[in-house]
Amino acid sequence: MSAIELQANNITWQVDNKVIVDQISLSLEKGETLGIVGPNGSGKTSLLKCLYHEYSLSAGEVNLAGKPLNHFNRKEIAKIIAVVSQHHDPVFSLTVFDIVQMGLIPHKSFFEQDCSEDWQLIDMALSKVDLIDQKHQIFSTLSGGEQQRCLIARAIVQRPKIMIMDEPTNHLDVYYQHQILTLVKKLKLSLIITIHDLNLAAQYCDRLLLLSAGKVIALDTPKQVLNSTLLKQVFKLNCQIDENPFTAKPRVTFAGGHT
Amino acid sequence: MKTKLAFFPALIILTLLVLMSLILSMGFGTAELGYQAVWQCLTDECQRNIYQTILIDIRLPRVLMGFLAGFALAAAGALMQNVTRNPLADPYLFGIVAGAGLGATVSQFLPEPLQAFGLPLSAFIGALFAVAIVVMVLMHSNWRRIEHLLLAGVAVSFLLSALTNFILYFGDAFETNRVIFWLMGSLARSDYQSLMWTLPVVTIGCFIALLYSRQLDALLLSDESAKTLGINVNQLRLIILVVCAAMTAVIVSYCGGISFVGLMIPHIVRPFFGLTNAKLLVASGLLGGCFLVWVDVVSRTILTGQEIPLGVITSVIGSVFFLFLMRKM
Repeated sequence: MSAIELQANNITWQVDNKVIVDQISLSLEKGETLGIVGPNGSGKTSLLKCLYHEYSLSAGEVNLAGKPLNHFNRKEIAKIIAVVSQHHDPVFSLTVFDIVQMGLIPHKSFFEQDCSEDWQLIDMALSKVDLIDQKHQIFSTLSGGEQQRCLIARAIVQRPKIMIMDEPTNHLDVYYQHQILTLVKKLKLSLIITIHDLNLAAQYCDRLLLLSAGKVIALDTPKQVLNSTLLKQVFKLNCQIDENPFTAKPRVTFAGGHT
Repeated sequence: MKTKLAFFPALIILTLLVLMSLILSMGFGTAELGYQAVWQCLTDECQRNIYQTILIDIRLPRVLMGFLAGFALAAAGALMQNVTRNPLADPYLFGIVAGAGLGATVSQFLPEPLQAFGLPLSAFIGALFAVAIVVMVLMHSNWRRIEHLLLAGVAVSFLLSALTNFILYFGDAFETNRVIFWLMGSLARSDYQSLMWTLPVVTIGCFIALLYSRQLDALLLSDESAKTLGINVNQLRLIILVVCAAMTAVIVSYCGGISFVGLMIPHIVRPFFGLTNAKLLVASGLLGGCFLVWVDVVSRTILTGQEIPLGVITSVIGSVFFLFLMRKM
């Protein structure tokens, strides 16, 4: 059994007495990919925000490398956890380079200038996500997949142990969905990803957490979690599970409104 | 943005421009002295005593104050635009001018011996008052949206202007003129004492902003992304807003309302220097300083025998500039 990178014990987060994240416990092992799936409004994004300390917990605690999260300051957390969240276009014309350079921030003190290793690191990250030729292009003129890759490059420069991604495949066509997920898997980080497409989740995640109304319905391997009874209960649709002929991972087909 | 110029060559060009502006602008004014006299006075000793008075005691502090005011307003404008992610933000956003105007208006009720020193000081207090209201409103709404800052600034501006207008309307006509002319902006009251007050504030302000410039860059994308990079966004934004407010308030209390410099200059600078904070701040400051020095030259030479208020000229240039900018956008 490998080391636990991040652990949540019974975490709860509520606003105005409405419980959004309801007593969730999970753990993330080193190098593993944990997928969080569930319907809209089930609390996937909120759960992520609790894990990276954007929200203060109402109850429970998150442990990072065995130490409670609130013993770390923001900067220390940023050295361990990188976040690729859903984003809006920036108002000013930031370049790809400007954004990737931000990944250096947690590692720099006041007045510390970039050195040649920093430039190399940025170039290396840009090459990894195949954006080196677009280094000086304006971020908002990139395609959705390129923007996502740019933010991944920023996370690489941040040199984290854990990467948290909120719906990285949203608004991408099928080619880019696979490109992004293959790319992040290659980074060999511990990953937590929220994802809508259950088949993508089955293909790329080691374990899945099925969430409904803020509660954990199941947390196990894709084979265990993706069963028709559970999915019917959560998504209110009939479905059938068989095997993806290419990957031998579970494949979910929903019946839609017909049955 | 791929900038049109590399940073350091561009900075050298800009610095040369600043030095040239400072020296050349000394030659303009009601009394025609010629550059030989200016040069001699600056490098060696003045030919005649009267030159000494005109150049060293009157024009030099005025030119320096013009540069400093332009520097501070443009730098504060650049910071405000970046920190609120709003290209229309400017240092007067907090109602600083309205607050300073109210302070200046109230200063007429001070006892006679305090009057001379009283106007800048009470304008400064008025400006801080406006900032305090805006910041209090923001703290109360928990900083949830930066748009609140803009709205609160506008509301406070109108409230304080209304109070000013009320007092002026019932006040003494001479006092009213004094306040209204002061609000239009002028460098005429610049002396070494005013420089002594403004220079430290502007220097410390810019130093703090440069200290945080890397963190400020992260705000350009979004608050949330800045937080995940380990930045305490609310605290950082408050620090920078206070810095901008202090720099602007101290300039406004000596020079009155000089509008559009803080709004316009950063927009000119961005295509050439990029939009990351350290570069934008320094370049905006230098260009803003030059700009105001030359505006002041125009203001004191274009009509013989009298000066045109600075704010009038900057507003004309600024608004035309903005209409032009919108056509291009």
